[in-house]
Amino acid sequence: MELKEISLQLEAGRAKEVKALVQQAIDEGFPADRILNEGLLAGMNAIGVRFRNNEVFVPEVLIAARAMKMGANVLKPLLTESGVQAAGRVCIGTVMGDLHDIGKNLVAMMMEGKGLEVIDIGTDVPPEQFIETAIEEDCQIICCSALLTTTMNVMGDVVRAAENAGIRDRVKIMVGGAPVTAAFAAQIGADAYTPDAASAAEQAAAFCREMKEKQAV
Amino acid sequence: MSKLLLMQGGTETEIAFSPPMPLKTLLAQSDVAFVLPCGGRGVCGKCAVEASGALSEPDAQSGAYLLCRTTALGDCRVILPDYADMTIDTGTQTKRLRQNDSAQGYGAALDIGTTTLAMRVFDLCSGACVGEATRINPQMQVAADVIGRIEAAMRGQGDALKSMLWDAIGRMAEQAAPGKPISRTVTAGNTTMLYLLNGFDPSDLSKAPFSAKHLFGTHDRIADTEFYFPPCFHAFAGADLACAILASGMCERTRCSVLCDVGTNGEIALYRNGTLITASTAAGPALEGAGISCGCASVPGAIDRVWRAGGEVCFHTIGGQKPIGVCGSGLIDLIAVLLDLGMIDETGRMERAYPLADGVALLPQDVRAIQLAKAAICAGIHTVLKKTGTDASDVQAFYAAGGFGSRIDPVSSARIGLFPRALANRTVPIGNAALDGAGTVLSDPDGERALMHLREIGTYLSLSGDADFAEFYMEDMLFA
Repeated sequence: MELKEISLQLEAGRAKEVKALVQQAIDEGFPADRILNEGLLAGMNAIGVRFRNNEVFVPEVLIAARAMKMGANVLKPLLTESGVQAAGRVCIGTVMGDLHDIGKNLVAMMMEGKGLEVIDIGTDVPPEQFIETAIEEDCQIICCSALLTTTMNVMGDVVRAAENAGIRDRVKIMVGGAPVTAAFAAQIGADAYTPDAASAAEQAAAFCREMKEKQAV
Repeated sequence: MSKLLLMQGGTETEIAFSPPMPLKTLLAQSDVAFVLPCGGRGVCGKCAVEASGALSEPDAQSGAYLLCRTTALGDCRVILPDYADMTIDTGTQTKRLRQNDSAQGYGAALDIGTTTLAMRVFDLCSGACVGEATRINPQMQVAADVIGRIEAAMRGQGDALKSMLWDAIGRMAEQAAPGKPISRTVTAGNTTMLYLLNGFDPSDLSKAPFSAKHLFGTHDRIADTEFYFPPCFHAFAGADLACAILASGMCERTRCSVLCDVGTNGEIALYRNGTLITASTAAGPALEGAGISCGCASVPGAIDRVWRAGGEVCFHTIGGQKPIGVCGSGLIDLIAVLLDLGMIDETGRMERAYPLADGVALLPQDVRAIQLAKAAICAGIHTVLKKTGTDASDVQAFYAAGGFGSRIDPVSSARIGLFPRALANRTVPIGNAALDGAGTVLSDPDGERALMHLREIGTYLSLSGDADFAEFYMEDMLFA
């Protein structure tokens, strides 16, 4: 078989086929990291590009992500066994006072599609919890979502809490959600605003690469 | 002085003004219905109108005149969409209340919806319905959705929002029962609308934990009219849901029953063994035809039914007129037909646009928008069933409430997965049940007590942030 078949089925959102093909690839002896990168992540990446170009819409992304999840579950034990490292770690949540999570979940899935490990701390998250999770889980990125103009200011509190905890130089803070703008992100001192899930995932992956290179130097 | 000629549904109104004057200011002073979906921020482009004469520059991007951004500079002419013809279903059940020889005067049942207002006036002695009226919620000029209205109130527009509603209620009473003084009203509506109607500060409705300070179930006297505001369960499960539950009679059944009022928000209630669970799910306006390329409201010319006969795809339009678009019930039928024909696959993929009529075509992204909306409703019902340990096959009756909920075809809605399939053949359409329930309370001395009992046994289940809901939402996205 070819690993491209996995990515094509994933793009089409066919979860059962993806699951079966991942198992077949394992049985045929493909290494786990190749199945992940050339199969699952390649498919998710293609969806991400088409999503950003407005060729596909939220349902396709969710359906593809569901297929990826099922494929990844088959692969997970092998990945752990072979010690494949995630490209980076992100903690993500919807800020305090806000319960909207569809956009946040979509961003989390797209980030997983970029090979990042995502720690989802849910909705109505107080600023301190973002900081505690980032420290405990050793995250390079804190990602905050808000859907209400009445709650978006909490994002500024997250930035200040990171400064107070002395981790501001170690984590990048990304913000997003319907009422959020690039100007708002700059005003509260966040590192990035992204308008959609696909660009959020790309930005997070870019930040992680940057920080790894810096570390290497 | 300059003249603005307003044309809406065959009637012309002339307004004299001294230019320059924003169009929205002029319209607000008149009696015409208009909507500004994004509250006049100029971002949605949905208030585009046909206009000519001395006007400020049209929108640079679309070339259209946006009602919210255009200023009248002199004599001009504006053609507004005809909302008056919109069929706002007031239901048919409680056209007559019980006779009460000791009662006198007139009473009104009201439903204050986010989008539409409905009123029915009764002779309290005979129980006969003497008239009814419907109207676009005038607050649509401020914002299309509840959050936009709450934000406007918090910015200091609370008094304006309040008087818009009272003004509309006054006009509706005059229209439904001219010259008949109304001594008593039962005013159903969602929690936010009751807040705004009473001029309460809605900031507690604006963020989590969304614990509403006011849950009503209260009386008030305004001028010579006694107002009863039925009880709400929660910030997102209001008096309209309580009245709909009462009208359905679902809590008098011995076995399990489910009610769903499909609108921009899908309100869900499940009754079982003396307990009542309520929930609310954000479907967005797609099921009402908004944000769909070929979508439209249920106005004359809207395709409201689609079916297959002898290999042909057939459709019906409201009023038998030339098709202008597809309204919610038609969209659900159309997608069901295209699924049966294999032109849409189970993941929602449609290869190319499907032309249904001259100038009316369903686009692939329209299917996607419907998918998001139907997944939210279906996942909401699935989650409530799961949390209460209820198997869908245990549900004795499934009440589809609301004007829209009552018009959709149960077979089509099961085909696209708007509701769990097992509930489809138990669907009981109950129309505008909130208005019916409010009517019942007008004449039934036990009505208020029954409503308060519903609130006592009722609890609210938050679907936001719920892991089961997130899982169902993804699963129910499919057309399986």
